[in-house]
Amino acid sequence: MSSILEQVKQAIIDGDEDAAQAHAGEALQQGVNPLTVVKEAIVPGIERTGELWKDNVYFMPDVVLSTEAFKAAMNVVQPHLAALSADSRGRYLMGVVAGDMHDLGKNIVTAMLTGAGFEVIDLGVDVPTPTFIEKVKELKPDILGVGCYMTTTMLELREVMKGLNDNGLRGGIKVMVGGVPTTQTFADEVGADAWGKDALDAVEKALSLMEK
Amino acid sequence: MGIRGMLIRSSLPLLIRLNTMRTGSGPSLLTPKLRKGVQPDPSDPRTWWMAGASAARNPIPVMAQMYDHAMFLSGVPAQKFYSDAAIHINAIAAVSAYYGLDAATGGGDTYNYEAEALGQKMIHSDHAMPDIDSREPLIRETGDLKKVKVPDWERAARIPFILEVIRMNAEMGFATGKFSAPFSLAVSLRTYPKLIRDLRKDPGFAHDLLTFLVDEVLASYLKVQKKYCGIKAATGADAWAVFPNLTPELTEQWVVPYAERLFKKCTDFGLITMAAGGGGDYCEERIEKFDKQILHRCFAIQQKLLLNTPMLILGMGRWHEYPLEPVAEYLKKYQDKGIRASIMANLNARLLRDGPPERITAAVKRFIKVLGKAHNLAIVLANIPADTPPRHIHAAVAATRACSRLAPGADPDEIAVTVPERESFQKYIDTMSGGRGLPGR
Repeated sequence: MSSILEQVKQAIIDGDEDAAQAHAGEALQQGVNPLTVVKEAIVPGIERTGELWKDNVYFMPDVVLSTEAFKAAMNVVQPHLAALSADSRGRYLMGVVAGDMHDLGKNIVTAMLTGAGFEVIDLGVDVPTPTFIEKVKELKPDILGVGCYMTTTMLELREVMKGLNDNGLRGGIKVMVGGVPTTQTFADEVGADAWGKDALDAVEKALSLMEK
Repeated sequence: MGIRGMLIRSSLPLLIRLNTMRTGSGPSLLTPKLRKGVQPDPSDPRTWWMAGASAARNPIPVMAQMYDHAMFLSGVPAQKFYSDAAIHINAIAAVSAYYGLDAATGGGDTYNYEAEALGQKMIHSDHAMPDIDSREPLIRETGDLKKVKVPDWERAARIPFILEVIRMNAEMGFATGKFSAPFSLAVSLRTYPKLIRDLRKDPGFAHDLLTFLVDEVLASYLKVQKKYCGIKAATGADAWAVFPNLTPELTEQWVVPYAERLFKKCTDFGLITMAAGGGGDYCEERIEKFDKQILHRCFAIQQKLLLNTPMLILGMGRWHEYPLEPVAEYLKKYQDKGIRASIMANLNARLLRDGPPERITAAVKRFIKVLGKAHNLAIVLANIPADTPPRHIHAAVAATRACSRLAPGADPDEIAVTVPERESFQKYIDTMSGGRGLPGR
């Protein structure tokens, strides 16, 4: 790997947002293909962070900083990647239910999914159910990922599922749920296809759903 | 004796209650002793709860954090439940009475009040607890800190609501104030990613922020709490300071010093503060990553935050799945000196929601079997999820009652637990209120 790609990767592992942004820009200036920057530096960086987290070497602060560095590097490279979606593992529509402003977990999952090759469209937080439905119709994602982080807002997921069913959309899409108060039991109750226990688990489940 | 020692002695009644959850005798942390402010009234849910509350007789008391569950069960809209103190307390007392809990305390969204009063943008909905709008942090840039002004605590945002809730708690015998601990309050105003970045890249600013929150914000707020609510102690909630949100190293560096600083500030006006609500808690989600060394480091921090009293809070983690022997091992230092530590043993929120009752009763029995003989236990139902089936809560209470008076050497696993077949909460309310429903609803 070239030196500049190694620097991008290391900046992401180190959670150094400023360095990740700067090195990603330098890589493009040096004429490195944007897709190469993603595949050989940015993605391996966030993947390594995931491994370190799994091994109890990294903890939440490290993962969050790596996620921020990942986003900073991607923001530099993404405008030059018009054709990335053609190369993706699938289209993943992501959002947090209405009334819920928690975005920390969602942002980590978004980074990890992007790193795993998904084209992730992030609707953000406090997403009303009609918006989920409208965006599913418009963007035709392979997977809809819904995050809920409060025991009251997670009940909104039933409305999302009802909306998908009422609009005849459920058959054409896989639904994943995640967030602190959710469990496999809850996912089964609402009729979701998978529950993401954490960011790495969400990626594994998403990849598995794409094979079905 | 230092100032801390003098204060602890002068606040002996509180600390006796904290430390004497003795099996079979003695006062309890949860003993509702001070009920002077509540006159018996058959239409008042606080009276329903008090009539059934018997913590002094229950060797292992059961308490709960259940704001969303109480709101959901009682059918009170969120905007009312989280802004009207009388309705809030009525719902909590009614649900506590229904389950036969040994404590009934209101509080609500503890992490939000100070932040909202300082000007942090919130989202209020009819179905959920108010939530901080993390898209618009009050301190987006470091320079914004200078613009933050200490509000008029007796009037700002929902502070009058929480002051009244704390005052009503005190009337029922739970005279402890509540606040968002400095680190969690900093997260509320700055967002977690930005604050973590500050700790690493701009520690000077992070210190300025936390110092401001302790010296200017929390000290003045707690002074008002003491004056209005008649409290002598207050506990800070600090969920952002639990492991793995923070490592033990970061907690030592960024949480403990500011808890100590706040303690010293508040002693000036006779209030004891403890960051007892989360700081040093161990919440590893992947059971295969359970790590005894990290757990013990968290406990050591927790004890500093609990003023080095022989207490331990097994908080929001997956305690029904973690091994409990490392807890017993950690507490052996007390056992060897003949001291029974006080343990607040939480039943995990997702366990309570998902059940089944047999799994819940098994978790209660395990706590009692491994930790209950050498130490004093309280079973805490951790942040009961909104739509938890009431039968699951009845199971937790029944298991605790059934196993809490065992003869020496008896095995909780041998005890049969019968979960009572109870009427619905609505029917309970109809019966207790003579068909008038929950007051104020």
